Amino acid sequence: MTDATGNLSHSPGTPVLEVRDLVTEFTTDEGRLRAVDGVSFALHAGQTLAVVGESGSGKSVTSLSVMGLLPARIGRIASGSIRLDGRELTGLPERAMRRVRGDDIAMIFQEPMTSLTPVYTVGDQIAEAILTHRDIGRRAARARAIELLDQVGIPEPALRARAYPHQLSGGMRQRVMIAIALSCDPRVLIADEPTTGLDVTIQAQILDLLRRLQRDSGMAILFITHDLGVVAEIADRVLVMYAGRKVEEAGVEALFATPRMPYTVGLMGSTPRPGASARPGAARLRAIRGNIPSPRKLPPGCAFHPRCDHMHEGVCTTALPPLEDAGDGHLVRCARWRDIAGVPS
Amino acid sequence: MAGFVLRRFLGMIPILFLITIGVFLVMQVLPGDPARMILGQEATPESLAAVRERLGLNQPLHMQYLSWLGNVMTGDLGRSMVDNSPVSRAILSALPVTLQVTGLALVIGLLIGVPAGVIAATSPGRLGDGVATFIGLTCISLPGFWVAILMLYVFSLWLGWLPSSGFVRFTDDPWQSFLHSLMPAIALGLRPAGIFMRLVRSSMVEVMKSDYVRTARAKGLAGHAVILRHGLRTSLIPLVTILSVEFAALLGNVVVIDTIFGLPGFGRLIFNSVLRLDLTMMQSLVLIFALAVIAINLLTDIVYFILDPRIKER
Ligand SMILES: Nc1ncnc2c1ncn2[C@@H]1O[C@H](COP(=O)(O)OP(=O)(O)OP(=O)(O)O)[C@@H](O)[C@H]1O
Ligand SMILES: [Mg+2]
Repeated sequence: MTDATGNLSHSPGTPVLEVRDLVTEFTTDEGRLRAVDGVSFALHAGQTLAVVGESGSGKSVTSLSVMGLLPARIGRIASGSIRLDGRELTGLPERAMRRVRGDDIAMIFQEPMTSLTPVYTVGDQIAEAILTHRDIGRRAARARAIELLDQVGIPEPALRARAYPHQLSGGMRQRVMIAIALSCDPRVLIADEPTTGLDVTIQAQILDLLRRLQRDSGMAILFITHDLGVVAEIADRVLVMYAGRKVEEAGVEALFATPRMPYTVGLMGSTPRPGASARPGAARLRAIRGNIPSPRKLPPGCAFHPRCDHMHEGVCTTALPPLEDAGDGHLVRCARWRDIAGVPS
Repeated sequence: MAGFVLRRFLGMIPILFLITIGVFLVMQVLPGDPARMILGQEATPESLAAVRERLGLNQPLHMQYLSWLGNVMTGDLGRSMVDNSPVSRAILSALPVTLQVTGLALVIGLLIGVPAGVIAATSPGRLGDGVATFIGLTCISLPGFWVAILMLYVFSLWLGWLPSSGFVRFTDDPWQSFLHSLMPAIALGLRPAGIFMRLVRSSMVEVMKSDYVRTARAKGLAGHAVILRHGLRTSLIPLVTILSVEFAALLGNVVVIDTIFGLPGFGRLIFNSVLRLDLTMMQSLVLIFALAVIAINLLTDIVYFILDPRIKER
């Protein structure tokens, strides 16, 4: 999958999931805000795209938009297109979207401790997902649930299927969440910070598991994280978001070797070296001075300019820089990336 | 399950004893001489002594307690001080009436309160929420006796649909029995309906925001499956507690309701025994109420156990 220059090539064929110019807005008491503003990406089978960015940059809203799980009445996709295997998902009626959800696109979340309903056994919760999308009997669904528990590496799956969530550890519960997500062989798995809050050894196990499952099934993974250490381990391609916009996108090696956007550089400054596995706490992205602006009142021009060491009055403060290709599909949204990198324009 | 029930049951025995002692002692300190109450003011000292002897009132207190307790355990609650009839017979005759009316009241409360709460919780801030909340608030604020009299006026006097007073036993004529208990049950059940509504609303609003409801949505479940299986099911747990509290409160309201609707239930027994200073009857009623509250608590624990698997560990 890597070409001669070491960059990940664009995989041939149509992507499984293609998001184009996605704009997602919330209507709140204080008015309307744009949580995602013109984000595009393509996700190919067997590939993992990591989405990184500080808290509030719109990562979760992007994934909820794809799932059609935006909070009812408050959130809506204002424009843009989301295509699954070429089929448009935006504007699909809820009934049709429900058939996609959990079947073609599955999702796991950050909080394994609270993401399972406390009053049903984990086996039943997995079986429920299967029964929702497949025309099989209860008994067969149960048997399949046990199989899935086995696949996600839970010992004594038949016994564990009868356990309630509170009887399992956080790592085990996240495995159960993964089993639920995998129950209908999704084409796309969205993982929204699935390892945050788990301890490091468990984190590593969950990442291994996801990689193995991806190898076996060829599903595409959209992996949302704060943690560049995790990105280095799991991603093929990385999308960096800032204030609802895509500010950089590249293959994982290219991104770590030559980050173009000062924001990305800032993120890396606050993270252990790529390749080195993340230490707890150390991997949080906090080192950039200042705070991410509220989507309600974004600075004009490049939204990052008030925090940027390379900011030039006039250049960065007036117009939103376009997303430019710095070569080999390495996209960067920075008016000064050539100056910073020493590339003649 | 059986072990859990047995443990809870055994745990109640000390409480049961304390209650019997309490009930017994309270009756001892009440003013009034039972012998004189039975025989009246003109009784001769000899006849008073004879009655005291017969009632065992000359015995030391602990002996009196033990013999009373022994009788209670065999189902003998003593005789009415007013007409000398067995108290247990009066109680056994009133019990089904009160159970039926209060039970129906709770059912009505649940039938109104739970759906209204679900509607309110799943449309927060919208019309359904407003209407359901308004109904809930109305239910809580209307006084039961006022609703009772209004219903009597409309449904009995005016429309003639429902009997205004009296009771028919379920075993004699189930339909008539139902009709006779309907208005009393509504009058009793409105307040619990409002309380259930508010409770279901508040706990379900939280649950609907929870991570596991999001998981249920992400599975692709239909809206009603998300709401009922994952939203309502876990919201039921706090409802059980309130249910037992409200049931105890209902028992306190039966005096008014029995009086208004002329029901031969506990309310009437309480009213009459207080009016006539029938100490044995009062004592037995207090005991029965205490037992009822304990039984409800035990039942609540069992229902908890069934509803919430997390309890098993404790
Ligand atoms: N339900 C909501 N109502 C209003 N605004 C919302 C809602 N959900 C998200 N937002 C807004 O959308 C923006 C992006 O939020 P999002 O949850 O996508 O961030 P994130 O990148 O996932 O952050 P984190 O790393 O903390 O998960 C935030 O500024 C937030 O204020
Ligand atoms: Mg998020």
